[in-house]
Formats: sequence, C-alpha cells, structure tokens
Amino acid sequence: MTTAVTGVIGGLALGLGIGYALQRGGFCMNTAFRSVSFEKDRTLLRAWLVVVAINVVGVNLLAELGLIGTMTPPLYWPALLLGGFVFGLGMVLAGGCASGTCYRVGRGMLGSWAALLGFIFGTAAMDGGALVAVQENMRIPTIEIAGSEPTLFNLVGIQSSVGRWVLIAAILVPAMVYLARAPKDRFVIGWTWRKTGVVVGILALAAWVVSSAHGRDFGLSFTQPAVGLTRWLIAGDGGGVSVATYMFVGVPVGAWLAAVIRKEAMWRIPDARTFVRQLGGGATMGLGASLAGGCNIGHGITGIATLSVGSIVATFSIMLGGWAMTALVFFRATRAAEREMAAQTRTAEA
Amino acid sequence: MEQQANENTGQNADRVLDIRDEVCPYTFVKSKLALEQLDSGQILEVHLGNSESASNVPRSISLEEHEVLGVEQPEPSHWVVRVQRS
Repeated sequence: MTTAVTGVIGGLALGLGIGYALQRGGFCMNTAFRSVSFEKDRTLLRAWLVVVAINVVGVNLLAELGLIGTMTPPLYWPALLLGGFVFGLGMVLAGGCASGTCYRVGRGMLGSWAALLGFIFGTAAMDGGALVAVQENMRIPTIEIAGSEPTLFNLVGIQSSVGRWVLIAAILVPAMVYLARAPKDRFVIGWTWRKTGVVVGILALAAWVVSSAHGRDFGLSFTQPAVGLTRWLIAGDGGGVSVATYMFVGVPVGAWLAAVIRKEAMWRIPDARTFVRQLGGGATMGLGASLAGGCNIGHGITGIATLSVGSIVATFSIMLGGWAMTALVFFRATRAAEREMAAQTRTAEA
Repeated sequence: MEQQANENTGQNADRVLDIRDEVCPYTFVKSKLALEQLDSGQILEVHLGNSESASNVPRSISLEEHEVLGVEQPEPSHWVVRVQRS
C-alpha cells in the first residue's frame, strides 16, 4: 500500500477509535479544567492527567528510541497567552472544547454542529484568512531558551537521557500520588476515568506514531486539521490535508457509532439563543486556537507530552479563559435566578 | 426552558428542571442554582439528555453535600436525577 492510502486508513481508523472513546468516557476537557476551581468533582481532570502521563512517557521514550520525530512550537508568548485565553472563553460558550464538540456532533447535537462550524470558520479566518496579520504580529515576540527548542528540559538545562527521565519522574510521581488517592467512583454511566484516560492516552500516542510514519512529526491535533480541511473544501488547496485531517474527520463518526450502540444518538436542537451562543463560542474557540497554534488537544495533550513550555503556557491560558467565562456564566445565571425569585414574590404579594 | 417532561414527572418533587438540551457547564450551573432556591429537605428533579451530564451533575452535586436520591434512565438519552437539598 502507498503511504497515501495507509495515511487515509490509519487516520480514519484512529479517529474512529478516539471518537468512540471520547463518547464512552464522556471526556470533556472543558469540564476537567473547570473542576479545578469551580467543582469538587475532579473525575475528568484525573482522566486528563492519565492521558498526559501516558503521552509524556510514551512520546519521550519513542523519540529517544528514534521511532518518532517530535516538534516543539516556538515560544511566541503573546499569541500563546491571548490565544489560549480566548479559546478558554469560547469553549464554555460553545458547550465543549474542540474534542468535546466533535464527539457531540457525532451524537446529533445540533448546537455542537454550530460550534464546530464556528470553530472551523474561526481557525481559517485566523490562519491564512482575513485575520492573518493578527496571528503573524502576535507571533513575532518569541523567547529563546538557550538557543534550542523551548522545552522544560532545556529550560532547566538538562541534556542527558538520565536527566530527562529524572525530570519526567519529578513531574509525574506527584500526579500519580494524586491519582492513587482518588475517591471511590460514583455515578459512573460510561467508562471510568481510569479506562477513559488509558484508552484515550494510548490512542493519542498511536496518533503520534501514525503521523510520524507519514512525515508529520506531531501527534493528535484538531486546529491545523480544521484549517487544512476548510482550505481544501473551499479553496481547493489540499496542501494542509494530512493524516491528522483524516483523524479529525473520523472522530464524530466514531462518536456516532458509540452513541448508536448505546441508543444515545439523537438529533437535538437547543433553543435559538443557545444555538447562537454555541456558534459564537465555536468561532471564538477557533480564533483562539489558531492564534495559539493549538487547542486543548494540540497543546493540552500533544504539546504537553514533549514538555513544551509554550504548550504548558497555552494550557494554563485555556484554563484561565475557561474559569473567567464560567464565573461570568455563574454570575449572570445567579442574577437571573434572583430576578425570577423577586418577580415570584411580587406576584405572591399581589 | 422548564416544562413537564412527561405525565409521571415531578411526583414528590418540589421542583422539576428539564435541561435535556443543555450541555456542560450549563447543566451544572442551572442544577446548582435551582437547588439553592429550595428549602432544606426539598427535592429537585433534574432531567438531563446526555450521558456525561448524567454522571457529572450527580457527582458534583453530591460533593456539594446535597443528597442524590437516585439516577434513573426512563428512556434512551433521558436521565432523571433526584436530589434532596441539604
């Protein structure tokens, strides 16, 4: 088989598997990140930590063995900080992060279709579209780390293999201790956080191996494939279509399969106000992701796996944006509830 | 937004919240606020339309010290969570 064919088949198969796992595990990084400051339930945060742990170990091991190539984005800090923050604001309004939106699309939630269309539009507008000057200018200021790739390894001046694994252990051991202390699972409907984390983690690592075998030295991502797909569909320019694009296309289909099996696939349309909110949220996510050069997946799983400083910065910015918008949503919903109560009291008095 | 989900809905519940078209974080926000408007011991019935909300909402609410009386699935894509305010 030619590499073009294996790329299509491998990409679609991985996308299907990832979509299936996201739906079965209810894996939503919007919820995972929000729980850090708003909720006491950290179940999905634990699933994300498992995914990150598998990928940090896997990617560094495979790279050291020469089985995959890795690429670390430059530390263009204004784009990473602002783009991540904007993405975080958008994912709350969109009702799901980039990956969460994709699997809800497969389930038939038309609000998520709006969010995905907005996301695709936003990424294309920022990356090579009308807003490309914003992207270019915000990526000019970069921070160099000792003249080499901006990773945590280079930041602390580690060059030896032993040193790298000591640093990885220093990061992952506390995370493992935290996971080991997790409370008993309650109200589980799909997969447990452990199973979700392990399956998504292994598939994300496999995405890196398959991508690297097809000349793309990066793992799972949603932002660049969204841009590549749009340019191909609208302008006929297939230069951005890669094995990652096929994965991106496979995700909603895999989620649909998982939902059909569980009888959860169903067309659902939210009220007009929610629909528009999700559309705008999706576009906001797309603009932010393209500015930052990645979303919750590209930075929050794949980039973090290389201990890229830029991806760590972007992931924290996504969290901050998500918290800011969640706080605003809480504030507005509380005000609305208070007004409703006051109106009811007045009616009762009359 | 709020409506009677079906004729068996709302029995022994002080308030029914039908948010089957909502996704996170709105499901959690609306459930939490609805619960806070009740008096201690009163019961809220939340109708949810997706599996992740149906596991996330009861988990979050139970950790807020309210008592989750039960989670039922009367039909595909429809979960009912009954909560008693602490």
